[in-house]
Amino acid sequence: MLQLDEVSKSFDVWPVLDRVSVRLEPGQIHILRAPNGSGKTTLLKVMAGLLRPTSGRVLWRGRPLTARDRRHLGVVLEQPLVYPDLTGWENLALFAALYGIRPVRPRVLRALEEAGLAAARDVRVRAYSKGMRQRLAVARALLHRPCVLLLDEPFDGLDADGQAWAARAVAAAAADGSSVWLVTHHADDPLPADARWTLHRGRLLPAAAVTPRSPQERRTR
Amino acid sequence: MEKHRADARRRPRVGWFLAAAGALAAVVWADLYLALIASPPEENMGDLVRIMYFHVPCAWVALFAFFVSFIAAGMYLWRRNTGWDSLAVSSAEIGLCFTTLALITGALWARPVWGAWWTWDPRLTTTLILWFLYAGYFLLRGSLDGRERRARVSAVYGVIAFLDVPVVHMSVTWWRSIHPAVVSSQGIHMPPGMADALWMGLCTWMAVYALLLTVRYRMERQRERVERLVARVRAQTS
Amino acid sequence: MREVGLWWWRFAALVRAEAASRARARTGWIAGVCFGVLWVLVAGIALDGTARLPAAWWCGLLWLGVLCTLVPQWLADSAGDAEMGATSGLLLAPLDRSWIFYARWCVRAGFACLTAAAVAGTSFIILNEPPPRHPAWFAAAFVSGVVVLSGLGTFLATLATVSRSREAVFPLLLIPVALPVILASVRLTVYAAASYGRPQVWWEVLLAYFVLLCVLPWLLYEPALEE
Repeated sequence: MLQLDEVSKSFDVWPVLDRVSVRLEPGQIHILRAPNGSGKTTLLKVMAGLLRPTSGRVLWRGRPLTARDRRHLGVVLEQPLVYPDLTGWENLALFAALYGIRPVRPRVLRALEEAGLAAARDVRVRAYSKGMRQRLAVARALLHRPCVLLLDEPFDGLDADGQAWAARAVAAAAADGSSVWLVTHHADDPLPADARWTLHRGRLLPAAAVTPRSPQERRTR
Repeated sequence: MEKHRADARRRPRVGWFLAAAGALAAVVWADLYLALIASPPEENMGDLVRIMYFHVPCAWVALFAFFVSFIAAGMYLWRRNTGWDSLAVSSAEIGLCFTTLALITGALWARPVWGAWWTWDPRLTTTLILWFLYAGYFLLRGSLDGRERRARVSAVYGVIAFLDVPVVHMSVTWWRSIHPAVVSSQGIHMPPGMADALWMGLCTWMAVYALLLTVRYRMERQRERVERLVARVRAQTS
Repeated sequence: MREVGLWWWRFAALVRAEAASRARARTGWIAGVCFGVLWVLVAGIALDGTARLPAAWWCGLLWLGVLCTLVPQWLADSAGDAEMGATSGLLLAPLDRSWIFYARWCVRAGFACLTAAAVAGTSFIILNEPPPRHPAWFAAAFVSGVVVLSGLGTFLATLATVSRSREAVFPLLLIPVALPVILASVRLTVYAAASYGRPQVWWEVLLAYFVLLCVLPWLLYEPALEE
């Protein structure tokens, strides 16, 4: 599915990513854990098509990622990526329309209920707490059932319930065949990983050998 | 060995530069002679006409410099090679200097001939707007962080600014016009001695532009190379 | 056909969201209207409270007032776009990124027409200007000028957003580029107010900008928006 081919990225003359190559296969969960300032978010933004690599290619099913292919990606970044002066409902309805989801209403209602935001659906996002904004951000990323989830600290600011919901939702997406790229700074894995990565001087390296989950384990989740 | 040869290629060619600068100095002296001594005074304006031999070429070279900057900005957006951005900024900078010279010489000429430092003549007005367009370009560049972002955003503005110039000129012309048309579709409206001085002036200032552009472009590239080296050293020592 | 309908539906959703967001972020446009009206008042005082201005002067002052109304609004809008990463959210959506420009242009043009109309109404009253001779032409010229200005403002505000000195740089980017539009708008409103001048060429200027604004962002808006 999503593949990075020898991707390098420099800001000014400072190299941040150095010839990164990685391939996300259906159903796999990749966890990236690296120190602050090592380029985790930059890598995720390059994967999402928000940043243009200095060299190398971002490929979707073997060809360069196009605007249309972005419908297969669900992204959580540090910011919630929503309009602050629209309500939770209006924001999700907008993104549902942009991703071509029809009918909008049942899907958005369900997403809000699952995220625990049903009661706050008509409240402007500006008035949401940090945790509620993060729930909305995760709901927004999952709304169109993407094939690839690119998540930058998705559990940040969430309470225990929120973390459990988000972990369940992401794991369910992976069980349905989505591949997950999760950036975290927590020591414990929030989800069982197929691969763990770290960034060192811009190079993407395997963090440690992990035993890939058996197909049976995937089905039971 | 290979590396040594590559370094030798990068070394500034001082000899070449001195030869070019020497040849240019000779051409500038010839132009000064033609413009200030050899060419005849004009019937009505007398010696004042001599300002024109500097004013007109400055304005033309400025427009050419902005055109080069426009092409380089477009190429940057297409190829995303920072060399094109260096060329765009170098050419725009020289263009802005020539525009300033054209405005100053124009005002010096306008005062005795039209009786005012400034008139609402289309070419004058267009030139001043051109100056502001590129002053905006440099202020925008100066307030942007990041090499790539600076190059990208200023290239977009550079393209828009240049495309705007003909429309600005047409609209100001429709508004009012009193400027003497030195060159029109029928050719140059002046005696041969004066026309020669004007052409010579144009060639001279074009050559000055070419030399300045080469020096400025090399400077920009060297600066980038130094920054890259510093970054590499810091990365190795960190 | 169904595909085209779907694209229009997406565009309409984007326009609706932008419009609701702008309408609720009241500070920007209310401050813009107040600033424009205040400008007309100050202009009246600067002209020594003159009873009647020539049509060309009045129209010139009117368009300066309109600029004073719109510039702070566009600055506030572009700052709001970056809040909570709303623009990045749109950049991730599966649509050509120039759509974001076209949607914002539509919405800002609508708001600009309403707020500029408030300034025009006030300047009729404060500067004692009689009703225009050709009201329909006046309205058409006014709306066309504001729509084209809004396009330029929307685009250039996006460029200025990433600047450290956005507030200082934006007017300097906008006014020289928009000068022919301002000139055309002034001449067209002068013609509508006092049957003076040749309107044909000025319509052509506005049309040329309109066409440029329809085509150029398609090529240039994505590089302007990249992070």
